[in-house]
Amino acid sequence: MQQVINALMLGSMYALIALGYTMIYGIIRFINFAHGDVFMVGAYIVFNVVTIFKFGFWGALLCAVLGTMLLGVVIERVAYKPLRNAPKISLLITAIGVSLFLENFVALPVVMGSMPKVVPSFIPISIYSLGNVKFSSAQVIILVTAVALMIFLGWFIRSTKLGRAMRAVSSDYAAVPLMGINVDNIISMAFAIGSALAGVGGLLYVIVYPEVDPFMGIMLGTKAFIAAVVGGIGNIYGAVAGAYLIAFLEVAMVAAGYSMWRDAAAFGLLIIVLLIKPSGLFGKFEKEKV
Amino acid sequence: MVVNRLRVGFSLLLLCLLVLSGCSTPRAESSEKPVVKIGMVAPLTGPVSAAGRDFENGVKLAVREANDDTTFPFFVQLTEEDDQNDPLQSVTAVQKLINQNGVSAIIGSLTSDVSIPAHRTACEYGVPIISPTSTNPNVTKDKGKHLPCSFLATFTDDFQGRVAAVFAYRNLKLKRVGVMYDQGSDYSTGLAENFVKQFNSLGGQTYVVTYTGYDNDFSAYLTKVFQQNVEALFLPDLYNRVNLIVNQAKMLGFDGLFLGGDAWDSDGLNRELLSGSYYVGHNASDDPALATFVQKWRSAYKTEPPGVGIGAYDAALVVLNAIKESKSTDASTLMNYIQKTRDLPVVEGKLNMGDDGAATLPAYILKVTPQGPRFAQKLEP
Repeated sequence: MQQVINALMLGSMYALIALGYTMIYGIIRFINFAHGDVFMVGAYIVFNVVTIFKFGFWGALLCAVLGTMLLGVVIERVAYKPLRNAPKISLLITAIGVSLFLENFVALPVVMGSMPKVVPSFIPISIYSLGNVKFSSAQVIILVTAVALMIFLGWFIRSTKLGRAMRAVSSDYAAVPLMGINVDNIISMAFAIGSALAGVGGLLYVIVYPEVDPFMGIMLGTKAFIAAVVGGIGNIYGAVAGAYLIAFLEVAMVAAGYSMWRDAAAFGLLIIVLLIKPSGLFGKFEKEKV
Repeated sequence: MVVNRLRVGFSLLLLCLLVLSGCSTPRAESSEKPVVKIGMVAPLTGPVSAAGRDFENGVKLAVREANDDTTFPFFVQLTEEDDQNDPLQSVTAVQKLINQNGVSAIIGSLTSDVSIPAHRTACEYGVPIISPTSTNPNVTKDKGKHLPCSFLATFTDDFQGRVAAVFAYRNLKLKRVGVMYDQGSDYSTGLAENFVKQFNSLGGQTYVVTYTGYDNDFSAYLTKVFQQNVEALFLPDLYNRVNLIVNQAKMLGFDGLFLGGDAWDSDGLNRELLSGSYYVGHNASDDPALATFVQKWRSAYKTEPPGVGIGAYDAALVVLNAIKESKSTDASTLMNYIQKTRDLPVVEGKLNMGDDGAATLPAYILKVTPQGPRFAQKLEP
């Protein structure tokens, strides 16, 4: 039972990052490999505002969201927009470049340095027990925030005008400008929302794992990416489902005593899903448009 | 004879240029003694240069004392080489010390990864080399056998694991301990395996879970260990991962003790979080027995003696003692005398050289407090 809570926590963490991958892919059919590093920058923003300005949860949340949103939009405008009509492979390689740049920029001694840093606790944490299951207030915050954001995002995409515009760009990139929708703004918005989610992810992450280092986004980003692919990349419900699936699988492996198989199982699942249903569990098959 | 004196004078000049220390020692006296050359390899620049400087200060302090000592049979000339904590550079540095400077013994290097190639290289030339801080038992071994010229002035990872087990069982009266370690790290594995062996043989019970270096989420592992109702967790890993594990353990409501190895000895350890935990260390400057040494270090460097500095001072003492006892500058003679080191008084207590090239000397148990580590106990080997 305790392990179920552990898996829910881990899954929420993966889901927040996976949503960013899947949203951006859904709109411009491109995997933003720098997304894990946006998450890392979000965690560093929290670290800085918490240590320097002694901000609490809400202050840190606001700074992390605004900071990563801005970063996401700047990355899109500077690095990806000029390549929008270039072959997808150029865009992919640029994304890897942006990822390496962010990691090594943060690792510079004058910026943050490459040593891991401890994030002081900035929210009071109390521990509750329910029978023999124990959980902390931090876990409640994470679960509530993550689920609330997923519901909000679902509602936003389904029911608002902007959400509809985003779905339109996703379904037919070329026809949308004819309908009077500014494609550039919609794409920027997708990056802003995706990055903001990564920023929230960074905040929630440092509550449970109170440490930041410049390369922390790599493994989490990779896991979130495979969660998005397993769920069917481009589909936000798929990303969430994939994230929880991977998390439950990992925790189950450890609980069963096969701790060394943890990562192998997660990546094995990806391979199996790709072999059986290449578009992912919730993905829809797309014909190649000519 | 005149030529010889000239050479000694010239060496002294060189020494002053190179070492910038000992210049004020009486020149007339030292020039009457023959010279013994010893080398030092340490990361004087690069990412761990702070520790490299502590290393240098420790060695220099011991050398200066030997040169101030009128009964010491030689004038010690120290040559320093920088390895930047890079295994490749350490090899070049050792070769340079032996081939160009003609040193009789070498002190180096800081970390085990760098010491291993440095010790192999020195042994190809038959020059004794001793590391003050490398604790990997493989430094002094090649294919399981002791390299006769390779030594450690400290105890090994295996010893640390055993010390932690003895302390946990005898002093903390623990019976059930969870052990979590990184299977991909020699350090972590060495400590954990020896802890488990020792603790079980004393009559305690251990519950072992392994993870890999990529993990940040330890809640599943911890839950598994806590199901066994353990009283304490032994976490022989680097301080940054220990921070993560302990935070998650507390979130799971664990209120037992945490124990660790010397990798905890860093300012990066979250001392607020780990307050009250214990770890095995090499020395503690607040140990009352160290007071005279602390005073000596303060008057030389105006700081508190760092752990690396104390270790480097010990290593230099081992080499200087062999020179004093043998009254020789011959590398292979020194090698035999270093191997024969018995009950040498070093900073922490008495040092004996083991058959495997690793020293046995008292281990320290340090207690974590928010203000820094505090001396808790000294365990004789």
